[in-house]
Amino acid sequence: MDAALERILPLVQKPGRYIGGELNSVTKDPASVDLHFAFCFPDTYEIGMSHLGIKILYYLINQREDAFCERVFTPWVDMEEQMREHGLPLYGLESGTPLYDFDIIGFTLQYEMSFTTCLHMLELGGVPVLARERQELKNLVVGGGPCACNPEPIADFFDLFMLGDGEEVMMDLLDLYKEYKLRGAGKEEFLDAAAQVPGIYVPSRYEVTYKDDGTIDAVTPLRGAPATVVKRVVRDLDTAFYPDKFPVPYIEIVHDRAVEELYRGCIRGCRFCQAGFLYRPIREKSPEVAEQQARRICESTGYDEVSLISLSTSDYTNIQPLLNAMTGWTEEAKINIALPSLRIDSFDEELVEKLNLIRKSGLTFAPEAGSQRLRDAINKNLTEEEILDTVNLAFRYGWTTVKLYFMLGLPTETMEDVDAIAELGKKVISAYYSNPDRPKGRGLTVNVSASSFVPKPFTPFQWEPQDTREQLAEKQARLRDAAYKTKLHVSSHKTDTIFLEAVLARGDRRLGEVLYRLHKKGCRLDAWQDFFDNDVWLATFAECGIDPEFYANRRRPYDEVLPWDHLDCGIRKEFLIREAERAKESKTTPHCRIQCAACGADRLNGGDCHARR
Amino acid sequence: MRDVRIRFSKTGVAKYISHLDLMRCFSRAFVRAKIPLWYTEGFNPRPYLNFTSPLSLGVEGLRECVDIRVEGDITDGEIVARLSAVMPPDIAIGSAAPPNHKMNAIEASRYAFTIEQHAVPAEELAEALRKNTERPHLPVYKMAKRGKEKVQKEIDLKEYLADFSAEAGENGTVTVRVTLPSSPQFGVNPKLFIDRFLTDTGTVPDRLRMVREELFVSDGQPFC
Repeated sequence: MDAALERILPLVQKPGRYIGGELNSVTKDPASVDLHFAFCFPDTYEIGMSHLGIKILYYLINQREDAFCERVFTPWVDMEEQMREHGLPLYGLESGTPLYDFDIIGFTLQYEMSFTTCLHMLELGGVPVLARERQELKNLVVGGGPCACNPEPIADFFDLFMLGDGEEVMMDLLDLYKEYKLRGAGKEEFLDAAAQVPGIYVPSRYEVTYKDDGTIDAVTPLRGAPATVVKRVVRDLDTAFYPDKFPVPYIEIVHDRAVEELYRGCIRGCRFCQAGFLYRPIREKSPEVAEQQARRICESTGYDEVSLISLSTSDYTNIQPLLNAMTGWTEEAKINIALPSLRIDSFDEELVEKLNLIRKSGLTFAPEAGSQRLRDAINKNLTEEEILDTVNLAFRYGWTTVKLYFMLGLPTETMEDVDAIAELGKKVISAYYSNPDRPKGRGLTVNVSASSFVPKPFTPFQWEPQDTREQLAEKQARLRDAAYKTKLHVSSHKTDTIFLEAVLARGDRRLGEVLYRLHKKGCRLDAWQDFFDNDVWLATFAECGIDPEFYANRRRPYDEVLPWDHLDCGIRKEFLIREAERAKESKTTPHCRIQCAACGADRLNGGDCHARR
Repeated sequence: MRDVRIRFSKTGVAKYISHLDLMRCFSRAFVRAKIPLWYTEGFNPRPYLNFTSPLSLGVEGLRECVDIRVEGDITDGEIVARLSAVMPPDIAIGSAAPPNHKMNAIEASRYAFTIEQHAVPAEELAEALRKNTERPHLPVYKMAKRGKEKVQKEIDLKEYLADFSAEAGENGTVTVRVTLPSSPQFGVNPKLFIDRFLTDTGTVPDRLRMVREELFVSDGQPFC
């Protein structure tokens, strides 16, 4: 280990974040490979290590003999300070190689507020943050993940983005890079070729022009780049790469357990939910494969919990057979099966009890909106009766803590809809006290969490204005008033970052200047309230002459050129417009298994969507 | 059902792993190795694991121990083989055997401090460190509790220098060895010890390696 690092580690909190060497981590000699890849997660070790995508791609890349993938996380501020003081650049955990020595530096873009942290990590690793300042092929900076669906605000800093599922396009990228590196080709030549690879978006190969009113006039491809870049999808999850082990951290991380992914996509089509559209079409893993993979990871890690994940676990068609197949060995090995985003009403009672699905942590449930009308408008296909049936079932099983998730500021929302949140909460309370099977002698806790709506690209609400911060604050206050002197505990979030998320999520390239200046002012880890400084952000917008409300609070017409219109995630615009119009009439659209709504994503999978099987 | 004492070393990056993290690391290792652990029979069954006293963060250990309770007829050799195959790189299994002494019989630990520096010749530093033991008092301060109150407690290192040694090695390296009390009732933190000596001799090491080499029971016998 580097002598400077050894001197620093005793001085910082949780040195376990910075040492690597975990069980199942990969070691190779960097000199023996053609491709040295730094997989960067723009947040702390504990958060980054909890992410499934990084584990899949880490082992996928490391399967190649010609490549070595290392992990890089954001050091906490105490470590950052020591690193700067001792002149230690940000490094890969596996070999300690400084970031500036890697061939490719990849970021996973999970949330907009991590953008400043990406620039921060590059700088801490001795890599110029602006793409045009990196003139060699070395230090190619690439990005992927959900925020790559509209990467325009960070287009100045990245050389290319990978759209959609990473498993295949990553391999194509590595093959191409190796070819160009070995023959000593330059960066521009490489980028021209990369722009021709399906799923790879090279922002420097597109010119964006603006109208006088500030909206986009046109996005013009340059040097033979395609007019639209279509995201990549993995066609068959049964044969797609899935790791048989995870790195097992020494220190405790946020999600410290084995994870098995059941399917990609979502049949529900909730109109506010970007993930629900972005990961379409539906592709399910067979229960046999899921069971084997889950078992192998448990065996190689020693984890005592395995989480079966997807966007809505109850919608996995084979959930019951899968659980039946798993309960034998998990019980024997004392492994707990965790089922996040599960609806318990979809299970028979015997299984609920056998699996010990009643966690001590209590029931969480997301009606999202208080009134039936608004739930219909956002296409949350859930009736009040279903909500009350579920909580009654939960009470019968002995739950006494219920957490209800709502969103404020949804399109078409009125103050009556806000009041309805408290009304629904009160109905849950009276359901408890009139339930003869409720746990005796115990009080009830109902937590109401009210977050704020952020309109996102590739959803039917992508044209919608976000409520202003004043409107949201007014709604939060209204909800608190309505819940006054009830047993409801209301929690809501600060609206500052919500606003900035809305700006960045639907922003264009002109925001690059803002992010660059924020970075120069030392902004990083802005997803942490500890470091986020709203005043600095707002002042920086003003300095750049940019009105953030133009991006967040303006209704965009259907015919406006959107910053992400040259990127295609499979969902047709006509479908999104139709859904947006139905929302205005509070009309629901049945989920994909009842009736295909022709979103268009099946085109990416040769016309196949598992929801129609 | 029988008790087994497993001896292991914790070196390299593993020295930055806290005691709590080490316990979790071993729990998972036993699962991976499919060691048939005996579980408590309470409402929340847990395996029985009992470790030697925690190492301070940054201190390596060569002969640390964990006691487990196993069921069935798995042999000690089998336990070592299976565990060795599934440990992280910097935690190595030494042996498995029935425990001879009780955990709370441990009275002292011998530490080795390897000081890497280039400011003065090694022999000169070794001599200065030896000379330092001749001071009438070598006080260090540790935080202790008196009732609910936190108080500073003075310890005189002078009492624990019976087997003190300081030897010059190659390239300006000096190794200090000392045996300090580490019973369940009273222990002296090795960092306090070496800091006193480094401060007194004005030494700023480029690198300092701290290793707990051996644990002892009452009559100076090795613990395991």
